[in-house]
Amino acid sequence: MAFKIESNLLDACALAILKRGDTYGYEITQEMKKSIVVSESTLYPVLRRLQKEQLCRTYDQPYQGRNRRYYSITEKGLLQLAEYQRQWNDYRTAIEALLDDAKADRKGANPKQKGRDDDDE
Amino acid sequence: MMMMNRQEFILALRRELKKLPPEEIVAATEFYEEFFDEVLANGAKTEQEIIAELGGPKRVAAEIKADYAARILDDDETVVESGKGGKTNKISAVWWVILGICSAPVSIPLACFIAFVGFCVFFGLLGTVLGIYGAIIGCACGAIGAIAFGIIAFASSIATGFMFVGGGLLLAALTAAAGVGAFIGTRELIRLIVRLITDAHDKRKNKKLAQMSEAAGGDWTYAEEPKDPREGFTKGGDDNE
Repeated sequence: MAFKIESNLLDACALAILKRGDTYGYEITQEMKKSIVVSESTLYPVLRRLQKEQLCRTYDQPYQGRNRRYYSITEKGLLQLAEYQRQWNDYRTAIEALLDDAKADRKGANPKQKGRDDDDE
Repeated sequence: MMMMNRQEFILALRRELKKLPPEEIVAATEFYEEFFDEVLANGAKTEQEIIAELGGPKRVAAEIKADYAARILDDDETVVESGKGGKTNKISAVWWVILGICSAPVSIPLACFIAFVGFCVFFGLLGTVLGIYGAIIGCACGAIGAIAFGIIAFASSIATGFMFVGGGLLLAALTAAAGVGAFIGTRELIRLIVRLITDAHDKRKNKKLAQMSEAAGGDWTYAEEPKDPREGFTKGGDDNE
């Protein structure tokens, strides 16, 4: 993919997955990989960061004789997710407006580009 | 390297992370141990395949270190007013970023490029020096040839003989002068190169020593956590049990 996924966006994605319910590291990786292209080594730092910022918390549960660490979104995490969603919408709208604008220009005549630049702010 | 198994991977990862606070190393180890358990339980991949997909211990460690560095930097911005320890934290954070960059795969092509340029310059200089010496040897041969021809020519024409012998001697004198000049020049060039290399080496050594004393003297690794004002919260949720 041409666009690099920035770390805040990864945080937002991980929070969105956690909002569906508590789950463990490997499962989160798999869920993430269903939607976006991420390397497997990217996820651990994301979870660690969320944990350190108290956006999620962990608890351990035994599973088939070993340990599974579950991640659970916190109140703070839910608030942060809502904030990410709001900001993402703004961001997406702005980028889309810009890209659609460029598409329209390509189709129509170009000469009035100068005036257009002045209108925008 | 390619045939690393799970245990070797974890050991290598821990080695790469050894400058981080112990709890960071423990958390990373636990996560990746569990990760191996899960993928292997799924049965689809071998240990080697998992490691290959992760990109190897260096890559995994680089991501962890980069994130850790970013976290300290962020923390600093918010904790700065609380005063004490802020400065050391910032320095060590910058140090971490540098470390992170150095351990990133990007530095390898760069290092190759620098080494390549170094080789080119070295062989260029070597070629020039050899060329000059070649020219001097050529001149010397020419001088000997001219003198020899002049001596033979004495038999037929004294004038021609004198001309060649004289020309040959002149050439020999010039060659000797050039030879001495080239010798002194080469010696100076070698001295210059040696000085440049030792200077650069000393500079790097001093810088490294300064950085090391910074990293060691800062003692930030352990100071960082307890000073965190949110520590009270962390207890319950953080590393569990």
